[in-house]
Formats: sequence, structure tokens, C-alpha cells
Amino acid sequence: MEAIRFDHISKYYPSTGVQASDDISFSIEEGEIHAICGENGAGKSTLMNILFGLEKPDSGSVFIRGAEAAIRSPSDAISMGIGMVHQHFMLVDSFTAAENVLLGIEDKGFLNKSSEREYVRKLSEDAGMPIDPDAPVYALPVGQLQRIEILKMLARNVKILILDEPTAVLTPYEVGPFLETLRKLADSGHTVIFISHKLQEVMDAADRITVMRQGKVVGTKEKKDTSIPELADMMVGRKVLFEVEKKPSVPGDTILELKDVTMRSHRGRLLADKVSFSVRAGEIYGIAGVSGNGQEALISAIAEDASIESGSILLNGKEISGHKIAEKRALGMAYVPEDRMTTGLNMAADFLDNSIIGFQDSSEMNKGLFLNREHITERAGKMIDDYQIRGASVDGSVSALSGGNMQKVVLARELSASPCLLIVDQPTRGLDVGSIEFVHRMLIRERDKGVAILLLSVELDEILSLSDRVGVMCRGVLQGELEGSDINEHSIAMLMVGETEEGR
Amino acid sequence: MINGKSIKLRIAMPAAALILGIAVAVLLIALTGVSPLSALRVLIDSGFGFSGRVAPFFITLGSATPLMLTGLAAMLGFKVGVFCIAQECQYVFGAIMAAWLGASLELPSVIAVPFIILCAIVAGGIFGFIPAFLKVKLGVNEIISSIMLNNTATLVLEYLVAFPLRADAGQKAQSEVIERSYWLPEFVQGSRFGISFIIGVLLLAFFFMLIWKTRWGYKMRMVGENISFADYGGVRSSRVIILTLVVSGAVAGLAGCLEVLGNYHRIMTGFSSGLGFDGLSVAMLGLSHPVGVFIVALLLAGIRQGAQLGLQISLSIPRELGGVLIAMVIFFVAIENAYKPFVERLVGGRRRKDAREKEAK
Repeated sequence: MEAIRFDHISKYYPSTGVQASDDISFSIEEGEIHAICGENGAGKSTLMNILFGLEKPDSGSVFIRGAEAAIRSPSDAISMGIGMVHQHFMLVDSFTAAENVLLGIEDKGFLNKSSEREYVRKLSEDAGMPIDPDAPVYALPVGQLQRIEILKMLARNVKILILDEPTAVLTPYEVGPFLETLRKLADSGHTVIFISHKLQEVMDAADRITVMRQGKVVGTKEKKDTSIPELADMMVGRKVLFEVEKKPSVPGDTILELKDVTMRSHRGRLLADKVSFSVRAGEIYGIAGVSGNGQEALISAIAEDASIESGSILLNGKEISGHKIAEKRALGMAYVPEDRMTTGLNMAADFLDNSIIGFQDSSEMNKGLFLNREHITERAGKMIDDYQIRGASVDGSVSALSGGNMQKVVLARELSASPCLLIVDQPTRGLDVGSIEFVHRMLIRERDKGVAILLLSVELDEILSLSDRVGVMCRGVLQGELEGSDINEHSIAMLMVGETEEGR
Repeated sequence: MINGKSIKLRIAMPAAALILGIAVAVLLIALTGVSPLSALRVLIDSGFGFSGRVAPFFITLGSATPLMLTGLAAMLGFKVGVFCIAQECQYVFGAIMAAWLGASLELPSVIAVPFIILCAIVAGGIFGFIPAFLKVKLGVNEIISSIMLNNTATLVLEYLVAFPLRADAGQKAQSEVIERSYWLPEFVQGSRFGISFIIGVLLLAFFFMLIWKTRWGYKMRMVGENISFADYGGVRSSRVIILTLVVSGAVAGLAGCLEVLGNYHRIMTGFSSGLGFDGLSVAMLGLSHPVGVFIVALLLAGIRQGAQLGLQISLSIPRELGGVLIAMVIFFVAIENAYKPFVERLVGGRRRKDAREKEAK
């Protein structure tokens, strides 16, 4: 039976000139897991906001179980049995799990602790996602918070559940179990709509998949009739190369060398324990590991100004540990940080200001006492052309750019001074397929030009397809190094959980 | 640095606050039974006019000078993302320096005046350094530390003029008049409009260039807009914040010094009458921009002047109405989100039409 039908939905945002939904029609069956995928800005979220009553369509209508529905607000939606879990959680930190689940729908306005707790416990167990009803929310990990958000909806008798990029906040290890709980929900008669741009998850979890591009529906596919490459082509609108084409590396001199680097946190916890490795010119050295196993600490010592307890970090043979960031940059280090929204870019500033950070004191950017605006503008214009940064202008803000184009701005700036060492931390996190392809090709191109690249990624696929050598971190120790044909998913995974090479 | 649409909005918003503030004041004037229109005319004439023995406009320029400087001082803090409100304290200590040295030095004025100004700048700078250092090194909230410094300054001033610096003659707690040759010249007799005004305008122009045209200003802006971005790019943000607040304090100290040398020629209790705090309003209403600070300082000074000279003396409307008008403007700035969509629609009217036309095609 049909749970939802979108009938010729259109929505135009005059302020940005974006046609977010363009004559969208398709339907979602009851009891299925229906994935909606598309690149960032394809119109997935707008469509879901229309379904949840947060946005009104300019034209077209939504049918719920065959009847036309006027959904004017989220409370309308919830009363019709439609619930939505947003990407950013909306929970009261100081309340317990049970209090959060029942907030706003308490019995007769009174709190009845024991029966409430029992109700929430039963609800969570029935749904296959047990939580401790008494745990205060601030103490819970992200995966649990997500369960609470879903339970909030279930407690309101929601039958149709919309999940906006639910796996974006989860670690790779939480994703599998999470997808299983979705299946259980579907089996118990719920309809799950699941927005994602990660195609592997979509193929793992969904029954049917609708692909959107530029506000239009490209098509709806049964899972059994499609494949990841086909979906990717539909999303991007052209052929996507999944395998990064790359020649064998031709490594040169050692550029970055870590010798017995030991680091501790402020509280004395061991973050990195005698880590030694080196990165040579013309190779990509990947560091794999579950996040929180010391990679972050190493990066903060190499690329930022964290201090180390003992050991040494050499860049072209010069000690750089404890040196100022500006000095490291002057020696040829470039750095694409993990978070482009807060660190890599300044959202409040225009493209020009973003294009010169790290170079503000260089003689190239200054003319006497003043900044050399003419040169800066020319250089920025060249970046936009060379990297095809869509939507950017030299005096426009960077905050309106898509994630992929933001990352291009960071890359363009970091590569502009022809560095000898490039450090990239989660370079494709949150990017769509087309942008990931671009970033990967760019990294290979720089490698072939002789740049030493240190790659950090929690995406195993990324490590596998880009790295010439891989070091695996586990509990602060470099558990092992792999090279050439030894690099495969199994060998990395074993090292990630602490098995040594000898122990295999 | 910002695109055209947001520039328009950024100017439209304070303009709307001003109009709304005037509207409320007009309403209040109407309640007193005076015709609002004639009251406004009197207000403008005696705030910005050129009639009378000393043209009110020049008096306004004179009383706008300390506002310009304290406004600039507050603005510098805003630029590095720090809400430091120690201008009151820095202003008072700058003034104390000038009054003390001005009454006790016995040097030719070419040496004494620059020396006094330098000492006042240093005094202001020291009181900029204290909250900055506490914030950067120890994480002390700058608002709290500067409020306490402001109280300290008021009390120190009261003590000084009551005892060590007190002029013998007279009942009032005030210091001795400073050496006549140290007085700064006035351009128009009796207007307070003098060399200080020129110094203020030059400083505004100087900081405009510094902030938007040089690498030092670039670092300040980046620290203020996104500190982790600045740190990532090798800007030493702690140093930038401390230096900027020291300079900000120096500017506020200079403001106090110039008021003593050019205007009061002595110091007394209640000397500042909240000028330091007015600087915060000026900086906020002036959108943290030197041009805005200049315009708002003139407006504020003119309204006060007009309310005192015009409304109170010629129409016997309490001069506090000028204060009410300014307070209303600040109030409307504070609640700008309440009417922002409306202003956006007014400003963005053309854009929406364009969009509709595009859609029609």
C-alpha cells in the first residue's frame, strides 16, 4: 500500500534563486525503507521539510495513505503519523533519556517516574534499540542520542519516520547496527525514509532508492535492480570513476620524519607512544585508525602547535616540534584541516580574506605597509578559474558555497605556494561523490608532482584507494605499516583493533 | 569585503532604528502638548544649526570629539571579538594623568603637552592590558574584569579630587586648573571645537586604513571573526588580542586627556558622565566602522545638545527627552530582530521582483 505520494511538488527560493524542488512526483510504499539520495543541494532536505510541514510548496500536493494532506506545521505532521529526526539533535542535555522521550507528552502533565521509565524501557526494547531511561543525556554517546531522537518519534505513534543523514554522526562501527535497527522498524510496520549520500549504506539498508539531482527526481530504483555505480552516475549526471587512476609512486627524499614521538594529554594520558614513521616526496602516506587512537594528537603536533613530550619531528631535516605554525608554513608545510567550516575557512569573510590566511606576512601579499590588494585579487581570481570553484567570486562570501566548493577553496589556497609537504585530514568528509572524485584526483596530481602527502582518514575506502603506504594507529601506538599489495581492508582492520602483523 | 545586498541591509537597519526612535520621541513630545514638528525643528536647529552667538553645530563637533574616540576604542575591541567595556576606566585615568601633570609640571608647553599626552596614552594602555592579559592568559571574562576596573576608576578619582589633587579654594571637589599654556586651542571661542576634533578624525582615518588595508588589520579581523581559523593560519591570536586592547585603551586614555587639556582644564568628581559607556553605543550603532562611528558620534552629540539647548531652554520640555530619544534608538538596535524581516523586504524589494521576472521566463 502507498504511504506517501508526492504529486508535482515545486518549491522556489527567491532569495537565493534556487529551484529546490522542480515538479517532483513519486511515491513511498508502506513498510519499506526508502532511501533518497543526491548530492548536497539536490533538494532532498527541502522535500523532507515539506513533508514534515516546515516548508510550504509553491505548488503540488502530498498524499498520505491516498488522501490529500495539508501539512502546515510539524505538529500537523506528527498528528498524521509523520516524524522527522534531524541531523542536529534537539535534546535537553540535563534531562534523562526517558524525560527527553516523553517531553511534551507526559501523562496529564504530571511526571510519574516509575511508569514513565518502564514505558520508555519497553518502547526502546520493542524497537530493538535499548537505552537506559535514567541516563542523563549529556553523558551519552552520539549513537544513543540518535536512538532517543527516534524513540521520541515512536512515543508519539509515528508510523512514517524521516531520517536526515542519520549516519553522518555515527562512527563506522555504529553504522551497521544502526541500519539493522532500521530494518527492524520496517519489519514492525513503520515506513522509513532515509536521506543519505553514502551509496554503500543506501544499498545495504534500503528497499527502494530515489535519486534526486538539482531539484528533480532522476528516478526510483528497486535495490535489486541497481548498483552503486549506476546510482552514482544518476546522482552526478555523468560517469563517475570509482577507482582512482594512479601510477605506482616514485618516492624521493624523506620530507617528514617522526622519531619516537610521545605525547600526553593535559591530564597525563598517553596519546602517542613512541611513534616513528616517515613520508617521502612523491608518495601518499595514509594513517588509518578508529578516531581517537592518537592520530588527532599527532596532527596537532605536526601541523599545529601542540608540544610533544619526547622524540622529534623533522621537516626536510629541520626540527619543527614546538615551532610556531608560521615557521612550519615557511618551511613548506601546507595543511587541509579536518573541519573546513570552522578552521579551514572563515565563513564571515569574503573569498579574498580566505585566500591569504597563512600568507598574510609573506612579501608576495604585501606592498610596503599595505596589503597588495591588486595581487591578492588577481591570485584569488586565478584560484577560482584553476579549481573551477563554482559560485565563488573574489569579493563574495564563502559561506554560500557547497561543501565541495569550500574544500576546493582550502585546497587551492594550500597548494598555491607549491608546498613540499601536504597534510590532509578527512579531506572528503561530508562531500558528495563528484567532489570526492575531484579531491582524490587533485591529491594524486600533487603526489605525481613530487609533494609528500600525509593523509588522515576514517574512511577505509579512501585510505585504500589513495595510499602508497599505510600506517595504522591503535591506542597511541603505530601498530604496523603496510606497503604495496599488503594494503587491503583485512590487513588494516586487523591492525586497527590491535593485532600485530606478527600475530596474524 | 561584503556584497552589495548586505551592505544595504547593514545601513538600513540602524537607519530604521533611528527613525523608530524619533517616532517614539515625537509621540512623547506630543503628549506634553507641544507640536512635535516644531519641537523637532528646534531640536535640529539647536543641535546642528548655525544661528546664535556660538553656532550650535560647532558645539556639537566639540562634544562629539570624546564620543568619537571612546567609540573608536570600543570598536577596536569589537574587531578582535572582545567585548571590553573598560573605556570608562581608561578615559578617567587618561584624564587624571592630564590633570595631575598639567597642574604640576613646569616645562615649556612644546615639551609638556606631548609628554602629558604620552603619559595619558600609557595610562589608558595599561588599563587595556589588564583585562586583555587576564582574558588571554587566565580566561577571565573581559566584561567582568572591565566593570570592576570602571568602579575602581570612579573611586580612585573621587579620592584624588577630594584629597591629594584638591584645589584649596572652593567647596567643590575638583583639582587645580592646569597651566594656561598647556590648554589646547579652540577654533571657535566657547565651542569646545578645537584641535582635539582634528586628532579624532585623523585617528579614525588611521584605523580605517590599518584595519582594512594592512596585514595587521587583517590579522585583527580574522581573530575577531574566527579565532580558530586565525590560529590555523599562523596568526598569534593571543598577541593580537592583547596588543589591540592596549591600543584601544590608549585611545580611550587619549580621549580623557584631550577633554582635560582642551575643555575642562581640570578634573572633578563625576568627570566622565558615562562617556566611556557612550563609546560602546557609538561603536555598536556605528556598525564597528570608523565612518559609522564618526556619524553616530555627531548624531548623539547633536541630539543631546539640541535637547538641552533647544527643548529645555526654548520649549521647556525636559532635556532628558534627548536622553530618551537616544535610549530609544539603542533599544531599537537591540531588538532589531523584531523588525529585521520587514526592513529586509523593503531593501530587498527589487531583488524579489527580479527573481519573479526570472521565474516568469
